[in-house]
Amino acid sequence: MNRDLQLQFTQLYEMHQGWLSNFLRKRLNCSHKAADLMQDTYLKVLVSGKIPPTEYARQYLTCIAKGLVVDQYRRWRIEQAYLESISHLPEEHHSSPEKRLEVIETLIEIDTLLHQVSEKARQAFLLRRLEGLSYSDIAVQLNVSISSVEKYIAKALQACAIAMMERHK
Amino acid sequence: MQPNQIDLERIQQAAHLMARLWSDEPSKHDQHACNKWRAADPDNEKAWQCLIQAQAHFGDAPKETIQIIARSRKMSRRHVLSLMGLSAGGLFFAGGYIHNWSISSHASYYKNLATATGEVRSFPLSDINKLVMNTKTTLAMPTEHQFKLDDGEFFLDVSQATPYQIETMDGTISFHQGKLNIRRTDDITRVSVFSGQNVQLIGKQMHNPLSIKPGESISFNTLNTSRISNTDPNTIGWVTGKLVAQRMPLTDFIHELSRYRKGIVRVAPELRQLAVTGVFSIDNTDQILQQLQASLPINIYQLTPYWVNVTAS
Repeated sequence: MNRDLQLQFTQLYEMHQGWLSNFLRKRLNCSHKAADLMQDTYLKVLVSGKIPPTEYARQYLTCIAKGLVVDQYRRWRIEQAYLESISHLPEEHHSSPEKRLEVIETLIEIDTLLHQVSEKARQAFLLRRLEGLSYSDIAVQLNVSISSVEKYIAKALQACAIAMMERHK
Repeated sequence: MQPNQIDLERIQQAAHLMARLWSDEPSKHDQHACNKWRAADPDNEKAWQCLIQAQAHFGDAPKETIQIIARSRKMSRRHVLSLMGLSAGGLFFAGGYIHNWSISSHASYYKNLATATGEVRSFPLSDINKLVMNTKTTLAMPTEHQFKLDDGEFFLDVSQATPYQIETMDGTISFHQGKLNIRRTDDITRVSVFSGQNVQLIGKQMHNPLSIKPGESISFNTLNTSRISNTDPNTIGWVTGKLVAQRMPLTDFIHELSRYRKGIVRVAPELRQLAVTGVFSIDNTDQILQQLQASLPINIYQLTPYWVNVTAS
């Protein structure tokens, strides 16, 4: 990092960390998580190498922080839904904490990729991709035509690819 | 590969071709068209590979992925309620944990009832009226229409109007029909009305009775009442074997949890600032403690199974 950028970054941190910390704490209702997400917010700025102009700094940081809060929330929902799904199993079927974490990461990945997809398209895609159902079976299950199923699948495939590209930007 | 260099139009074309090939009976012509498109331009092939790469994680997906993702999408306050079967205003008495005891098939009253720590029990009071007792509850029925609650918590689902009178150390509650929860713990009686008719109550040292409506809750001791608040359906998650928390301070949550667990759970008071949200199964409190440790910055020390310390990590 050149010195100029370093100076700008330090300034950005000093000027905004106060309200940002409050903003995150209010949204997350937890000061530990808020502190984590604040670090993540600044880390994102640092990685992008772009320091926003002063007049937009607040807007820019809010936008990043909000995105992180949404991610956090989505993560939480997936975790809860997963834990709920295994809570009915007898204990001997429970996997190790490491394995669980892996499964949760996979679920979050899939959920993120399909985030922008409509409910029906998501279902159609997962039924085909994970359960290997035929288009005609999916059509019956979702009560739509077979040609709609194909359209849903195409939409979901496209959305997955776009979501992946956006992540790598 | 730099996926972001691929234009969206190519992605869209690739997605259409792939969806065609995935169909039930793709023709030779479809296969040929796809191969031709991929070979026509290196960027087309890149788009195709991008679709494949995006699916890299689907192979590791657990069996219940569809259900889990669908459930997570609906996860909100409303969902928490519907999980418990409360959204439609009705309760279902199901779930592995609830024992349906029928001491005699037409029992309409039981003299002395008690539940152990962690036990939730359901008793029929008539063909359609039901009583469910929560953990560590001692309840007596001197007559068919009278309850005496010493300690603990119970839930009444009375469809067939019956004049019930409920006594606690603090006072008397009159109830005819609907769904009602009575809890006496921490030296106070809490009455929550979920549906049905108005409920009257009076503390032993009060002069006038008080009436509360369906959807309202109140706490009282012999002399004083709290303000009337809206009934929180989460508070009777236990009826279906669940402990439901929505942004509940960790200390309060641990207090609730410890009702279902033998021994002592100590929690550092400064952890009040941490909030717990979730639906937990009360038949496995060890697992709940593990879940808390996994998701919050806390350490849980089990000195013995009967002595647990929760501290900040």
